[in-house]
Amino acid sequence: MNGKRTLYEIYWEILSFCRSPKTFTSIINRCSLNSKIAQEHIGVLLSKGYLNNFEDGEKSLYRTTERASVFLEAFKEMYMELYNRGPEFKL
Amino acid sequence: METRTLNRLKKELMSLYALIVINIVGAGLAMSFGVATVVNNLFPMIAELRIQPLQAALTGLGLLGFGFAISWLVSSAEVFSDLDDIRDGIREQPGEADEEATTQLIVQNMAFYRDNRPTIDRLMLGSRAAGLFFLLSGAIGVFNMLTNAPAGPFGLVMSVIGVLICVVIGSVGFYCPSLFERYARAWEQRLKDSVEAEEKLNRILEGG
Repeated sequence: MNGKRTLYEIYWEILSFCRSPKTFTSIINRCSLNSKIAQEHIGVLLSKGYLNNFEDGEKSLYRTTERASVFLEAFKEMYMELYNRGPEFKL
Repeated sequence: METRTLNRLKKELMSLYALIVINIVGAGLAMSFGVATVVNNLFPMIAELRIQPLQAALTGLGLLGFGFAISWLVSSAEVFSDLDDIRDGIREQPGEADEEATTQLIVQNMAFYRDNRPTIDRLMLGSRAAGLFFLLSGAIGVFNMLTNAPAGPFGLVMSVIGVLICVVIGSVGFYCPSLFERYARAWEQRLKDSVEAEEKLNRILEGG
């Protein structure tokens, strides 16, 4: 996805995408990140224990851990709420 | 809740889509009217090799309107293109909403608004400028009718139709920005609320 996203929105995208194991390349493609920025974000998520890195044959894969579920759930609830709380736009 | 949110997202997107289409049509009409105004006023002066103040002013106004219309059209097309990507995302959604996909759409819409905020401001300006241009053209048309009565009933009818078109498009041009303002107000509120959400998310991330 393109566009100006906040740090937390990018974290949420990476974490929700990596619910099933994903390669680094697929993460940068799906989340529209350059490799340097993606490395930084993934580094943060690994350090928090929200992402797990493991080898599968020759592939290095990332998977969201159980620990990230609090963040993912809170993010979903807050965004649903802030979207629905405000005035609705219609012509 | 997710289905309600998804339906709301769909409705809002369709409203914005319609608004952008109105702008594209308005910009196209403004461009063609600009060209017509230039051609109708410039060519007689060239043929007569004489500058008439009113015709010169109308030529200038036509050129100005044409310029604004191009900028208006380009801005509308930019927003339309980004909006189309989101629309594709919504179309892929099944009737029963998946909560993750719905959240993704909210994030996508927020990013869209952050990205397109300056373009939407330009659209409001373009719309107002084109509205002004058409209302001025309508006023000049009325002035022309009063000072230089069109020949025959056909000429009169055509002049009245021309003035009416100008007034209608001009009014739409002035009304569109208020619709964009309504859209911006809804999203500004959400962006404001998202700052508060970010603080909470930061606390979760920091293990608080």
